[in-house]
Amino acid sequence: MRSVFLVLLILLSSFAAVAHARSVTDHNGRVVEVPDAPQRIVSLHDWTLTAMATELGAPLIASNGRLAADGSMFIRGGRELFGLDFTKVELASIHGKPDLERIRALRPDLIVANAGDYSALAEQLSTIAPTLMFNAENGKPGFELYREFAGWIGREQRFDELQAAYRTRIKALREKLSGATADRSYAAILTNGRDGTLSVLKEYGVLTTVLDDLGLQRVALTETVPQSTSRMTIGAELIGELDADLIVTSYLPETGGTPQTVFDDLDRIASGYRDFLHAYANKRIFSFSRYEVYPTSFRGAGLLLDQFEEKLR
Amino acid sequence: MRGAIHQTRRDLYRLPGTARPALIVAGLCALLLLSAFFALQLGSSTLSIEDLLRWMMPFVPSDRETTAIMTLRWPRVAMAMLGGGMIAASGYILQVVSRNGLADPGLLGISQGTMAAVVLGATVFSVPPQWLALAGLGGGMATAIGVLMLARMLASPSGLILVGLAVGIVLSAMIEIVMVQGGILQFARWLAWSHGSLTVASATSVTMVALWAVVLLPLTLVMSRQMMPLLLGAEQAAGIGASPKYLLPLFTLLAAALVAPIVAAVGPISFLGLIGAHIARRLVGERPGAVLPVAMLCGALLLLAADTAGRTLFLPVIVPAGILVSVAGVITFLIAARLSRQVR
Amino acid sequence: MRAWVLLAAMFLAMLMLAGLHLAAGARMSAPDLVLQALFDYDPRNYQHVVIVKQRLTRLVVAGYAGTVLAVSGLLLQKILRNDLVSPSTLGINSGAVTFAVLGIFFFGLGGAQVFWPALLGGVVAICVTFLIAGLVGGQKRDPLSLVLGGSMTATLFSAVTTFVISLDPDRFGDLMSWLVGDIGNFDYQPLAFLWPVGLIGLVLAMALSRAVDLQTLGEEQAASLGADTRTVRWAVLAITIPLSISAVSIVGPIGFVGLVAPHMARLLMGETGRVAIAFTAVLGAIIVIGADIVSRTLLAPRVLNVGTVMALAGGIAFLAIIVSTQRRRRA
Repeated sequence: MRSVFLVLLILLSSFAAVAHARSVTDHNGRVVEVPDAPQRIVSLHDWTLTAMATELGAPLIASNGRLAADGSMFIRGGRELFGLDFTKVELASIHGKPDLERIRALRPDLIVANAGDYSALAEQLSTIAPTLMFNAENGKPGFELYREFAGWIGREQRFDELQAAYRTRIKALREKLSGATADRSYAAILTNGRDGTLSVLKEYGVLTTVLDDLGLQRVALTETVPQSTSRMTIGAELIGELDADLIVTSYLPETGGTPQTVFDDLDRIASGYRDFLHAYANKRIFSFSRYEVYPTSFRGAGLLLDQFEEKLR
Repeated sequence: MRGAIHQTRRDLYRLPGTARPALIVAGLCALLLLSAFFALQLGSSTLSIEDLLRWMMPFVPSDRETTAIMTLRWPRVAMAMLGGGMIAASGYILQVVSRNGLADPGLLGISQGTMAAVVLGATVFSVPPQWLALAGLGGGMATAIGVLMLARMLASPSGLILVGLAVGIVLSAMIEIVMVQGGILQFARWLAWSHGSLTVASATSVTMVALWAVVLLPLTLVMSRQMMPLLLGAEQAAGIGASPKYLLPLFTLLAAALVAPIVAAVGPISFLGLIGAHIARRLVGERPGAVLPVAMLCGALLLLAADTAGRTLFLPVIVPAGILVSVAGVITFLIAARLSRQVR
Repeated sequence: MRAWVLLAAMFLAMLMLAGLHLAAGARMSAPDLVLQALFDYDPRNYQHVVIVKQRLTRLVVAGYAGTVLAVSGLLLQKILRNDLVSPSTLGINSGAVTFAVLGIFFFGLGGAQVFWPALLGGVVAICVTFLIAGLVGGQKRDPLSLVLGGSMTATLFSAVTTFVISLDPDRFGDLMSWLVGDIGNFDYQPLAFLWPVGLIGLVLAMALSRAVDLQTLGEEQAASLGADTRTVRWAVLAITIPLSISAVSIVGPIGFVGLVAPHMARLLMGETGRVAIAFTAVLGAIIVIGADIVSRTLLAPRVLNVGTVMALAGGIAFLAIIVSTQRRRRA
């Protein structure tokens, strides 16, 4: 039996050596030969990879999905930003429960997966199609990662167009809102209504990107976030360090979150914050749907800019 | 279970004929091969029996489609068989060593030691991935030695399990402290791995495990002859000239070496050692030479069945084999224990 | 008399530790500032807010959890006549967590609401544990079989918990620290609903103290002294399960207080009488408050979870208990 396996292995590796056009280094440092213009991309992470691939107009044939409590399946982020569901693309696997045979049956010519969940499966996935591991939270700015990803799937051109439009918008908005943004500081946080901790976000999808691009300065505490990570959990006692001109956060609608949640959370986490956080007095605490701000997408960035334009006027 | 150990002495004087165990081993082998065949045939991609047979024939080229499916399927099947066998063997050895029918690599802290070495190696000491399995092995062995040394101070059979339990708890807490720092995503990944899924089985990891198995399984079978005196307890063993002083640590190390590569490759599978050995004992009595191969076959069969069920019955959800073994295993175990008590 | 002195001393120690708890955190506060915050509270002073709204509330929760878990552990150890049992080693905690997680995933429960599924889970888990232990140990009362039964139950339930969480970890982001056991700044809110459970449980524990003490003499002895063994046993289980679940549904599965505190109490003053219960309660509070201080200051500004700190320290203590009790048995 084992000899049969071995023979097959050798046969298989010779199959894998089909000519490819270019080599790409992914976020795990693996050098992978990928097709020049992939035609059948399978994404294994909904609200980062699926969202980006969709925005870039890449030929995405399948995405992973999540199981809701009622048994239905959805694409987090992709559903809200691009109206994506499983009538438009195939289901690749349920989050956290990869089904390699199902992925193979989709006959992808490129697989993109998030490093955190799929690194252990790199070898198996690579027997199906060239596989690239993406790490959305390695501490690099969102659009830098996005641009890398666009390069992997051969859509830099589309990325550059989208980015150019975004930059034009940013430039206009910077001038328009200069009073509200110049020399102002911001803190991006997540509140944990359950255990009373806060997370300081160094990079969080388009939320931090847009504010950086608008010319706001980060609060000093952000600098203490360890390298190659994007966030740090702190005790609520340090909320005084987050006393920025602008405080932004996000909520997850699925778990019953609303824009109001952050205030309820802060009341519980650090009651009395209304008295000492300047952002509260100036009505500069904003919360956005996580579906829209966590994925790095120009669509999400645009939505965010719309809201800032209205709120910071 | 204590009852079973006591029964041993009686059984020793009227050993069952050698024909029965041999028949059972043959029957289980046939059942395992049959299950392996169906495990290879079943999956979320359909495959005809004809194609499968062609794939299995040496020197007959099979089509690319079948080959591609099989590349994903055979490592899983092979890993389930090897892993099940090795874990069950490890569990049985530990049961004999501790003279307690409930010993299991998970209960003695060996699995946790392996996991701790892998997790801490990867996150804190940034050990390169190819060395993680080896680091895990070192961790498992070190834990086994530590638990043994501590338990020797106690000199009671239940001491070994209790010490193992406590060491396992301390090691799990250490892992948890590291994993919680990375937020819920990292924590969830670690949780998922800590409940054994065979999806990660690949040609490389199976080869690694197979190399261990090639060395260890024959060694285990040969050494099973030395186990008989241990069943009698230290004093009596010494009385008939065996030296448990050397045998005990030797067997514990063997048990650790059997389970560490599996934990490093696919994560721990709780209860498998316990259940495999338990069923084996009910099938062929207490003679280690007979129980050990039967336990290995039962373990292999169980893990193979759990993994195949997990990846075919609940699609599109894939249920990790470790969870199915835990849930189904505990229920089986309860029923078996209840029945056996009624019989007595 | 000696017992009362010891109790008073331990209570004093708890007060001092509570003071330290109020002062310690990511930033240390001066003692006079703590006093000022307590007796002359100024909501505009952020230091005061931290001390009263973030540390004092946590202190109360830690004290509550430690107290009820320790008393549950003591009662369980006494009626089962087994030094190795506690709410965590009997699997009650993991059963509670599993059912709570299912409740959260399927029905979106939150806060004090998880008490009910958690209670159900705790009852189911302890039944499973007794079932396994009964089958494993047969008629022989081996202390090991209950612990093994508990360990198997815990593995079983944690497998289910893991499966549910891995389906969509992002949804459980807020819950992670609860899953490993931690004291949050506003855990006092569910406590506001659940404290009567603890109070009634503690009062009943005190009331039953004599009957429970009789149990430790052994079944025959207790029966000859006119105690109804079965009733007392069921009554104690009916008290301890909700008692420990009320803590677990607030702070998550913080283990080992229930195991370690009774042992320390036994070493220091014995286990009979109401004073021993009170002493164990105070010890339990001290342990959890201490663990909370450690978890907040060790890696500041990052925070550790009390649950993991307790598991690490408690696991080591468990090991020490095993080594000492097993040696005693041999001697």
